[in-house]
Amino acid sequence: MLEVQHLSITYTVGAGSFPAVTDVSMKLYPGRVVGIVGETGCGKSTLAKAIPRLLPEPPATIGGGRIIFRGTDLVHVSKRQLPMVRGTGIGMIFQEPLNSLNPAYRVFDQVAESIRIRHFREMGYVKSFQGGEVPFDYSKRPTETVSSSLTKPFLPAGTAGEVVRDRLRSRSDYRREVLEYLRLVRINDPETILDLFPHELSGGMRQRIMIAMALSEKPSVLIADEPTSALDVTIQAQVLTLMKELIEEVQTAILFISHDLGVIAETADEVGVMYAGQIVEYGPVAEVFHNPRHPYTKALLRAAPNRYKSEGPLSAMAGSVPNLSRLPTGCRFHPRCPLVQAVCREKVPTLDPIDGAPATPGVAAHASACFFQKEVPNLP
Amino acid sequence: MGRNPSDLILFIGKRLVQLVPVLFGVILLTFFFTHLDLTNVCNEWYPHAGGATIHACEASVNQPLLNQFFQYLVNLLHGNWGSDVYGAAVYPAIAAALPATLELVFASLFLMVVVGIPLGVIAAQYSGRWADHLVRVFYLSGWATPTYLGAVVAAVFLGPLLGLPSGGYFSTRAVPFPQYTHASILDAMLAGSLPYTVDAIDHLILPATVLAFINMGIATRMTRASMLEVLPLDYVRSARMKGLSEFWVLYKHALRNALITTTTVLGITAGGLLSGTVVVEEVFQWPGIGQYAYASIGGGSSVPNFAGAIAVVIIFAIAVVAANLIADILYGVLDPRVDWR
Amino acid sequence: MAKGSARPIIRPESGALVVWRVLRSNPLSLVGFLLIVVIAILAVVIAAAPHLVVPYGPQHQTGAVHAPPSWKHPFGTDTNSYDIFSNVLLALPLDLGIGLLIAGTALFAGGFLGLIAGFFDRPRTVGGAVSIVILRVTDIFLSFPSLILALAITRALGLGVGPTVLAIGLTWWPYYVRLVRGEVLAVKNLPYVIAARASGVSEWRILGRHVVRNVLEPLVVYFTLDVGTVLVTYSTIGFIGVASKYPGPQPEWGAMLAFYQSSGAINAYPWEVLAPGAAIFVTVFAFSLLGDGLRDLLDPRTRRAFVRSTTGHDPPAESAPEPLASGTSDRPAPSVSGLDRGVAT
Repeated sequence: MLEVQHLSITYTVGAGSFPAVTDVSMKLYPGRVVGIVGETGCGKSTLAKAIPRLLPEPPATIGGGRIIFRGTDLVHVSKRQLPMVRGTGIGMIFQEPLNSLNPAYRVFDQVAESIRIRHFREMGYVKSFQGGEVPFDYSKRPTETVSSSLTKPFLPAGTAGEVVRDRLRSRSDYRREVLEYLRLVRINDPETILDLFPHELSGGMRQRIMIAMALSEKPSVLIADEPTSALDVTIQAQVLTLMKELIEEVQTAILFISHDLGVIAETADEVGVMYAGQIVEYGPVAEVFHNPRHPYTKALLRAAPNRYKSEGPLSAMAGSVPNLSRLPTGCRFHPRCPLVQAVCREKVPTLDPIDGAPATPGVAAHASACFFQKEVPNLP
Repeated sequence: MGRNPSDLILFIGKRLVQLVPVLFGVILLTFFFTHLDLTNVCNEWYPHAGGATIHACEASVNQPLLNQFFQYLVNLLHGNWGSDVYGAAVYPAIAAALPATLELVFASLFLMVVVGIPLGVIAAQYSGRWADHLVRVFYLSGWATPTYLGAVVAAVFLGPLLGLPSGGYFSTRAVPFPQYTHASILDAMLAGSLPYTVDAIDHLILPATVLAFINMGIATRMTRASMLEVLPLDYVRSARMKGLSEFWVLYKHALRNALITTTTVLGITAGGLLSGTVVVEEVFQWPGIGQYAYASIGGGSSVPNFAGAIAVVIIFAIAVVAANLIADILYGVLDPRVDWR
Repeated sequence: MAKGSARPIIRPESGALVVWRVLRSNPLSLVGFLLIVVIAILAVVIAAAPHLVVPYGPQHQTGAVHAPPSWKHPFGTDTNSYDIFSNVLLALPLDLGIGLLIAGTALFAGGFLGLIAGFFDRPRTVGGAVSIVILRVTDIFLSFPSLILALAITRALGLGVGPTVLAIGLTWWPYYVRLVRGEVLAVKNLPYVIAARASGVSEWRILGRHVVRNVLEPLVVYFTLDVGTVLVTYSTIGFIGVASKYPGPQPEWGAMLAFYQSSGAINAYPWEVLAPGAAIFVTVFAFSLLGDGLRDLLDPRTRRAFVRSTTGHDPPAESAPEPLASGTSDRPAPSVSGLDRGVAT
């Protein structure tokens, strides 16, 4: 569905340049959730925004690699074509629900706009991005509204008729469809919410609407960039539950970015652990979390508060995230690594499969970028 | 939260009440400033008048200033705005000239919005690049052009070059229909005469363009600044992520919010536009308040008209206050986050 | 995110450094700055020793009537056979001087009132009462298009340069009250000012050390733009024929232009009108170029874009006063850009 191959992104600021993402590869499939986890500043958000080419270029530049979507490399798609990829092709839910809705328009107008974009593309009224493959339609929900099915027999087939039919979609048709999506994201009182402005809504409510907007375009790939991080803890739980239910329901390909191991554990099927712009460990969630094979993953898991072990102090990781302008040579984790050897300072480890990892068909094999991956389980 | 239309009416009402003291102050200041020099004010203001006018003037001047002011205020409230040297009443002349000026001002405002705001968007979109610098040079040239220079250049050089009339209201003085509204385009349209409507628009183009060009900088600058503020915001990014083309992202999502501040600033330009009419109307022989003001003040070789000058100052001040009020209301309407209180 | 660890601390910079950074980054401002330097030197030379640069006296009869531009008469001669180039040059010190004088006086008078109105505005104190009076009077003044009021006052005071300067001066200060008050209100509740107050620094010392310093920068920028605006206003009154008479011993650009426009035959001798017009345009344009570039830096909206473009980092968020619709009387404390005066001509 979507494949990222050896993607590297650099920020050029003044005279210096910062490699924010280095050589990242991953594959997204329909109905499967890939989680990316890492500390603040590890480049996971840059990665998320780079896929739909949302990063401002400059200062960001895609230094190398490919983003294959529907058979086309998005890295080389022109600026004019990008809008066609976004929305219906790749949807996104952002971290900051408070400011992500336009304060000047009512909820209805903003959700209806998303629906209209999709309709226009479905009708062929506006060119949509095709790429090599046929777009994947995940939805089991009926897309036709009552009025459009009523008008069908009277209109000629073909594009012209389709356009006329869309023109006939009245405000009330859109209203009905918007309500449908607001209910989908479990908004209790959608009729009232519809006519409110964003500033009249709570953060959790705004994030639900952002989710509704993203889903209403029926994207083949959905990127969720820390969708719950900016919310209160109680609201976080609600939105997370909603996300989990929706993931079951919509069966789209999802990239879920979070710094929270627990969230990733609950939502994702596969997980990539990022450190200083690189994926250091990748594999099925259960595998990675129960049998980590990279010292960083191990340390991260140890630092995370465990709800089953309330005893004892939390362990903090020694050292800090390296400055991207002065990255260590060799393995980027070596200054903080308990297993460090001379080779770590000189050679860059590659993401190699773990020996003897159980092979699940259709799921990426467990891999780790550590020369001493076999010794990781012996770490405390 | 939530706002009702009834709140808006209350909001406007409150603003109107707040204006009363401002208007009183405007009249007071105008009156006292124009009576500052008491020594030979009559000769100054009525240099060519007959003995009777001078006599009447001196009789009133000899009264205490406060009495004069209250007399003036009472007359004003009764609709008596005084009369000029030749005894012609000021009020009817102003009332007839006002629509022409409004026509000119609204035409330039229209041009400022239609040209100036998109230029601001373009400058912000390409900020720091040559398109931005070009737009800056354009609006700063307008800023640096004195109205009289712009008007004279347009009337003398541009008019003949473009084949546009550079003087007057219609091509003929004797228009074959009654001028109900005293606004040329409206009158011609009311009379149902297409040729005259076209003629009226032709006559409006140059003066309105000059006025717009000179005041354009404010609209463009403000739009550019607000767009630069809005463009990096999250909701612009989410609009982009919806799959909207850059045009809609800029003009529907970003500009809609940037306009909120631009509107307030457009209210402030009312003063500039009105001041501009004094010279523009004189140069283009546009029969509006500006030309009346020019003559009243004694511009060129005209006979000054004391009562007319005061009346014009007051009218212009009222217009500025009204423009700011409208901008204030528009601000509240455009920004849903503002409570009408 | 990824840039987080490399973010530099952005310190407040001295005025000169800021000016230099703007000039370096914005070619238009640099052009404006150089033009101003040239114009200022020229004005000083003309005022001190006119014979060095001005070829003829203001009413020197050259003998050539309506001569076209030539090396001898760069802007030609007029109907009285006066040299236009000399007259244009001789008008420079007057026009520029008036611009500086009025804008400068307005800066000090309006700035002082604005400081008081902004800093001592606590209700139910003497300062509060005074600041309310200042604000109300300012509001009334702001309702007038300055040109019109100045015209009427000039008329009442009698014609000539002096009354015109006085009249413009009387209408010019309120903008500065608004500007300074807005800045003071924004500054005076900043954490470091509150901290100074909490540690027992006297109010006057806070005013002098912290508030004035912060207000100075936008004030100077606005002043730069304003010199041009005053110049335009003055020359417009000259054009209308109320301030100066031309031809005369002391030429003035607006009056010159009016004279040449009304003396007819503009199409035959366009340079007569264009010469003084170009002079005023170039002078005002120079100030606008510099002022506009400087203002970009002070406006919280454009400053972010500016800092981003020169350093690549988002500056820390500013606590800029949020504009809200309110009465004319207590309108938002305006930022530098919010105070755009309609070019009063």
